[in-house]
Amino acid sequence: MNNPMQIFVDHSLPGCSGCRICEKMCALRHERKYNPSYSRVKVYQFYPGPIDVPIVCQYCEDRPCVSACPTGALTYNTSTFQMLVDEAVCTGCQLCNLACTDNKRGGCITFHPKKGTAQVCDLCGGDPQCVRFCPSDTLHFLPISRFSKRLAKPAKLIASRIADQFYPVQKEVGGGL
Amino acid sequence: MAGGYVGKILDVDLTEKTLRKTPLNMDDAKRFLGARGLMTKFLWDRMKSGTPAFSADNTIMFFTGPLTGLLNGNRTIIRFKSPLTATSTGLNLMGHASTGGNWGAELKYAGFDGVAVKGASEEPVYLYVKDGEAEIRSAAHLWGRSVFETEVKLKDELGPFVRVLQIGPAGERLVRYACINQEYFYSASRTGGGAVMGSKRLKAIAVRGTLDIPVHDVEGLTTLEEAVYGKLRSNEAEVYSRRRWGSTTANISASDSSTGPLKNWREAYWGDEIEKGGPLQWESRCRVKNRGCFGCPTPCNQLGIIREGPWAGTFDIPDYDSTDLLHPNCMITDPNGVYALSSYLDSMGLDSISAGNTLSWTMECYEKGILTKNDLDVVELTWGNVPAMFEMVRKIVRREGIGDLLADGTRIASQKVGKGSDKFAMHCKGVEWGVGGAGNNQDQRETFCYVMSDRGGVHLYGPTIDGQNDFAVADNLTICIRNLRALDVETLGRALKAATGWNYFTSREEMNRFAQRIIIMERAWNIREGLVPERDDVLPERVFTEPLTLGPKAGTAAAVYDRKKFEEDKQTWYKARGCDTHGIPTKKTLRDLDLAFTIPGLEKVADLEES
Repeated sequence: MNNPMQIFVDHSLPGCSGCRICEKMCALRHERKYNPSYSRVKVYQFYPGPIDVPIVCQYCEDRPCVSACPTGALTYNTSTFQMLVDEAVCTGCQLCNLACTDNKRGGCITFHPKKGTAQVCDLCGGDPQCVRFCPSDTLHFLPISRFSKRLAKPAKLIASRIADQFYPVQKEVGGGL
Repeated sequence: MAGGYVGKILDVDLTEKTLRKTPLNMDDAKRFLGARGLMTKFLWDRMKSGTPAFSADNTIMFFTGPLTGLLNGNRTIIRFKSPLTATSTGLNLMGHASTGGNWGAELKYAGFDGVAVKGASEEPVYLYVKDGEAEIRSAAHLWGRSVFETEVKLKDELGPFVRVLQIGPAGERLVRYACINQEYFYSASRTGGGAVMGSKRLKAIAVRGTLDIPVHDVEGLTTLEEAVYGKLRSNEAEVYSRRRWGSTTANISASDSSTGPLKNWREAYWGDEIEKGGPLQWESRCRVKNRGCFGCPTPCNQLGIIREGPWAGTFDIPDYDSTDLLHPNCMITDPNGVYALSSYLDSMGLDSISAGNTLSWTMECYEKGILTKNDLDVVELTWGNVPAMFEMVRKIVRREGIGDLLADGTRIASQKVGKGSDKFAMHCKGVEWGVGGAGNNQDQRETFCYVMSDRGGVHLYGPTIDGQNDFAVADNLTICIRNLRALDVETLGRALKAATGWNYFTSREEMNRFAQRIIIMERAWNIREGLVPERDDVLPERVFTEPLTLGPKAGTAAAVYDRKKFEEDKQTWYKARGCDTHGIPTKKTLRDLDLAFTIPGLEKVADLEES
């Protein structure tokens, strides 16, 4: 069932310039620190290119990450439509991210560089800083109802779609993951 | 401890294979602020006078500044004794190169303000820096590989988020204008840093960091992030043109105003022909997306691919200077040829500005019969012959036959070839001219300023006195000059205050004084290393003797640089910079600028005037 209120951060092709303002602003918003490792969005780089691919939680309808969490730290709040991590409960086992990649999604969850706890996009409570500061018109904030079957995709798949636009280059991309 | 810095320098000795973490001297940091100034001070303190560029004692430094990784600061500045910059007697002078991308910010996130490498390894190595730790690793599997291969190979090996600075085959073989690359097309290209790394057998420096950069006032700086972003994005036309075309638009306007290069700088105007390799052609035929350096609100690199012809499938990011020196200066009429060559030079780790100049000089020698076809190993190097240029670049990279001569740059090559070829060897202090507004005529500011630059004919030294000050500040804060120019002194001052807690740049005058300190210290260092301004602050003969015959300036007084006017311009500059009539800083200037420590060293080599 799609919730009309549910929203997510999308990125356009070929879009991303690889400037990582999104990472910087995400880290500042969530931890008040200059260190992109706190960012919930990660920009990958593939070659030949470089082809830049920002990866962030796509708010999939089925949420394999939430069901994979053994401690109940990772939840989806059905009234605010936000993914949330309870840091006090999270053990940093990374099973959520494994569930994401195992289900052929993007591996959209990052981990706190010191505490090891999961970090997931909470849409900044409705005003995502990554979208606000994106200088290349790449990240967009959209209602998911218009993209009902949308699931997060692996960075490499997105990179190869961008590579498709570089006709007639080989479709194999490497060096990014 | 002031914020903005992480407070550590990584000191590497490749002979002894030792790594040390040296605390950053905060007194120096306060006086010289960042990359360019700090490194010049390091060079003054640490390196013995007269160290040759290719000796193991040469130190190559990769530094960041107080705003790197914060706001839109992202550049890495690299300084060393250059194998290319030299006095007319052949003594090596200052080497300087800078690159954007992600490397500098990553280095700070890895817990270092800079890396200083001295000594030389016997076998190829690379340096891996991660979160405050570093190690020297074997680069046997990387040696001989192109820049593109090395980048991917190291990322496969060390993980996707590692940032790599590396040299290509040209640097390994000590081509004097080899550059240092990252992310394929970002290069610290000028004055031969790649060759210095090659002489140390240092293939690459890979960096990964997940540490915090301490900041004095996070809230203040976060507010500024918004203000700076807004300010840089507010000039709609500028942002749009940068995102769509990047810097290459300038080669059309340069030709139109007779400030570009044509035919080895013989002319400056190419009529409609200039459009052929310009940004519109790239956009419609090749461009796919744009790329930006870390934290940049106005990304300007146009990534694309050649889609047809013999070079189909070649990726490139054409840049104003590289395309201008290959396209009009070597008179290439096939745009794909320009892009393909530019990409090939990047993959081999060659500075396309110096390479373009060296090729155009060789073409002119061939046209005039100074070099014969046999001299050129039977390569038919006529104007615009792209396959022949490819062949010649291959020879330069391998230092094979005539390539061995050309790999030393136009200064050394023209001295060896003789027969008047030095009159059209377009370099200052050994460094071939970049473009940035220079022309073979008088009213171009850069033409004159290449003479005064501490590192020869480099367009990133700055045109006017104020322009040079801007560049000195930009190189210290590691902010791209295009972004710096859009910000006012007050914003920079507030940014520095929020980052470091220090009051800096309270007025334009104070900023100018700071820049003057940096610029005079560099000049002092060069004089200590053998620069004699009277003898070495000179322009190539062509500028004075061969007036332009094409374009709007033809037939006017501006078509040639009057020698007397040049001497006057020189004295004006010396005076504005607090130097005596021989171009040497006076003692008063040095004391006023807090540079008294240079006086004893300078007195050994020059007569210093009191004021």
